Amino acid sequence: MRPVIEGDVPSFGRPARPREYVPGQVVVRVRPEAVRPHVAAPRMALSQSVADSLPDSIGEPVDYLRRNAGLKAVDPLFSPRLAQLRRSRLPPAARYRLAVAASVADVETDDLAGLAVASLPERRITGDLLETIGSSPGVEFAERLPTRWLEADGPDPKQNLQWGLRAIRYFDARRPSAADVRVAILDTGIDTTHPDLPDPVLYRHQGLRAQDIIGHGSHVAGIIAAIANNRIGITGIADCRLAVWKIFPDQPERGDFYVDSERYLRALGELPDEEVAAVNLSIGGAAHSQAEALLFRRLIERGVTPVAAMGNEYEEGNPTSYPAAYEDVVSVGAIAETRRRSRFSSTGRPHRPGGAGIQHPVHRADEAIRLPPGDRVRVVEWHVDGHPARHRGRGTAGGGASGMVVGPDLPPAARQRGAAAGDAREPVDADLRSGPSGPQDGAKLSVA
Amino acid sequence: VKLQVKFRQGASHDKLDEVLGALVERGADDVRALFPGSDDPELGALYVVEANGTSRDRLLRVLDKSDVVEFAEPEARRKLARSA
Repeated sequence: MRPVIEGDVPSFGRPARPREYVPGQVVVRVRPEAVRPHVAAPRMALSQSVADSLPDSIGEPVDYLRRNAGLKAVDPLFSPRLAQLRRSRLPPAARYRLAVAASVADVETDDLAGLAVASLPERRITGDLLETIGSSPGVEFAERLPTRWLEADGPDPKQNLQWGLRAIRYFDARRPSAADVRVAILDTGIDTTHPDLPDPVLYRHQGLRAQDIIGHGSHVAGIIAAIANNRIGITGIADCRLAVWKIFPDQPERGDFYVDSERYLRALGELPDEEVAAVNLSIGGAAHSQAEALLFRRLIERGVTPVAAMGNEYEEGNPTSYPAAYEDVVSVGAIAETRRRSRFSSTGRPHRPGGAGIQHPVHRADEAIRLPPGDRVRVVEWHVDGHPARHRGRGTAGGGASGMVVGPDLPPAARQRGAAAGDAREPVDADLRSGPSGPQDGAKLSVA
Repeated sequence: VKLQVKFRQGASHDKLDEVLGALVERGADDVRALFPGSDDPELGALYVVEANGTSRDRLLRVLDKSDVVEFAEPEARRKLARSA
């Protein structure tokens, strides 16, 4: 068998990002022969009188864009005087006209002459607008600026920092595609422009800004599903699809981030209808809630696997945290790179008196990870430096676990390694409650 | 103050109106369905009560006394779990 190289990660055949055009940009080409008789090439003066001297076939389309489509800038593509044009103190109407004129006057060969990029509000760029501009006799064409990207596969530069991937023997794992599986993230939002994150299949943030308020949700999204082998950032655990609900208000409450309860509970109610296989919840609180418990019961009944953080309050009394403590929720603690429980990570407590811990039947849509009901899963966090969202926290426990629920089929060896610190079938709470020096603390992610 | 309430399925409109009236009388500003328009009877029975000028316990006493209320509880606060 050939050695496994850590950079040797298949890209899952993930389709390229589907954005076809650069937002807010239109390429316009004017006919050089319509401009040249009116300007003194090659050093046309950048003056109001030159702007006024342009024929209607050139000036009117520019004025139309300014008056009717919110034109914000015109940049000649091959003029060396772009900076000078941008610094000009002439009124915008004159500057835009001169930019178009310079695209011809400053370029000697007709092949490259007349090309300029117009910047407009994205929503104003319509087929009708392009047709109107393109129909002017002085304009050869007007079209949206197409997106182009590097067609190169290769290892993700931060992958070597992802010790968690090594800890779970990710590189030894069979990694069937999870492209038809949806994982939900209920968090602070997601950065939909991040080049290492797949576009979410849905993003609900009604009444809130789309922006991820502190990058946490994007961080989680990266751990779960950062695009593999695109030479950017990190490697996500699974090539699943993401469905994201922003459940935090845009403003923190005295510096702390508290969930908007109604958004959160509604999202829990909506999850089954969106056909998600798992949901990641990096949230917690000490109070049990009957309404919340009811919604989690419904999730389980409808085949959604909830993954929730046990919390980071070990040193503040190690409180039981909900929703992690509800029955059948995959509750997640944290370990450090030493494979020992992080000192801050809460350990969870059995929710049944005398119980052997929390039971986590985990199901994956394609059965890549399959646990018979009653088996226990112990899932742990790894810290990911240089994750794609630039989130500065220590990492997010649930993200990794959510990826695991739908992600790679761990080889038996990985399960054995998980058992190095104890039988993987041992109760999760026993493992983590033993503390940093306890016998179970070498635990990695272990599923059995 | 926010409370989460589940009414018993099949509770009569009269009984519900009685409870809602008592809540408003004791200072509730708004009572709204958590899943408005839901045709799922379980989700459709969940409500949120919001009040600013009254105490949580006062409203909970009203709800606890009603036989059409399956449960009523204060909003459970959930915080982002992130380490420093």
